[in-house]
Amino acid sequence: MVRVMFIVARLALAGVFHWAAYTKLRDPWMIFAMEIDAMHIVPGAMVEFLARTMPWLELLVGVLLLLGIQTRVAASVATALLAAFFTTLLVLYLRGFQGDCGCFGPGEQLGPKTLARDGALLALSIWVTWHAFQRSKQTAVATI
Amino acid sequence: MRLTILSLVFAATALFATESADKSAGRPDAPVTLEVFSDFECPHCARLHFGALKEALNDCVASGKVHIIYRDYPLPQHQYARKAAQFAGAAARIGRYERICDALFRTQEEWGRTGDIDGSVGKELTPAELARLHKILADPKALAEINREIDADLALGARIPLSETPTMILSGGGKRYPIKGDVRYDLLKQLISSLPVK
Repeated sequence: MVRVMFIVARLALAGVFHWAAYTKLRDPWMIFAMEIDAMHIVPGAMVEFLARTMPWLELLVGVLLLLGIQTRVAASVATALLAAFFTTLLVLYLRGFQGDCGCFGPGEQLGPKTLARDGALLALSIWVTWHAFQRSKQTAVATI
Repeated sequence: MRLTILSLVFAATALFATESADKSAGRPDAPVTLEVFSDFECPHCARLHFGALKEALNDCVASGKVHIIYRDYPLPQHQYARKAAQFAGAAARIGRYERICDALFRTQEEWGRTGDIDGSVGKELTPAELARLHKILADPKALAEINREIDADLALGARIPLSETPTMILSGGGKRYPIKGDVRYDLLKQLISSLPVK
């Protein structure tokens, strides 16, 4: 049962990362760069680098989670990314930022719904990561 | 008969020309259009106006690549935003739209407190121009037309739909992108350059 739940959660997370990557990659990178820049959280020089690389990293994580390759690494990166996104968005929300969250392409204004969704995704990702490490520990014990 | 019709058409055209308000910059047949929805009382709109938009005016608008269309989007929480938009609309009818836009954004804190737009912005015009502008604002028919234009812009923005000001709609080469906030010109320029237009 837990194994099935783990697979479903892993695939759900993979879907989310694929969608996040797709909504950014379908538009020119400048659109995402403008969203990052509007948040005033990273230096100007970093904006272009982040806008160009983040969607590809999201896609890579999504593919690895989907195929179940390097699951521990992929799930750890997913958790780190979601934790960074959640913290950033929470700080921005508390500061009164009313622009786009930049989560799934343009058009989503940062609000409580965004935070609730990202929080739930972070919780899911933490569980997938924890379970991925547990599974590998069990496999190692079984091998011995 | 033909002459009478021609005269009537000419008279109607002339009348329309004096009534029409140009709230745009650049060549109307430019391959790229940038529609800017802003509120004269919004600080981010002022930053966009004096930042990326000024740079665009001197660069891609001057080169004929971009046509900027200014649209009014007075937000309900800004008490004097519509009054400022009316002032700008009247200024457009005397060919002083850009100058008044600059002054409205530059002094937004001042008239935003008092509502005295005339006192803050009027000095940008000659006495004769100011008198013409006052005449337009005092004419119920002209004011109703200005209000209709503002309402049309608001309706257009609501259909997009807009969630904040400033918002720009960049279109060209079959592509259309909404851009929110006071963005950096270097990013906007790269986006404009990426559009598949000749």
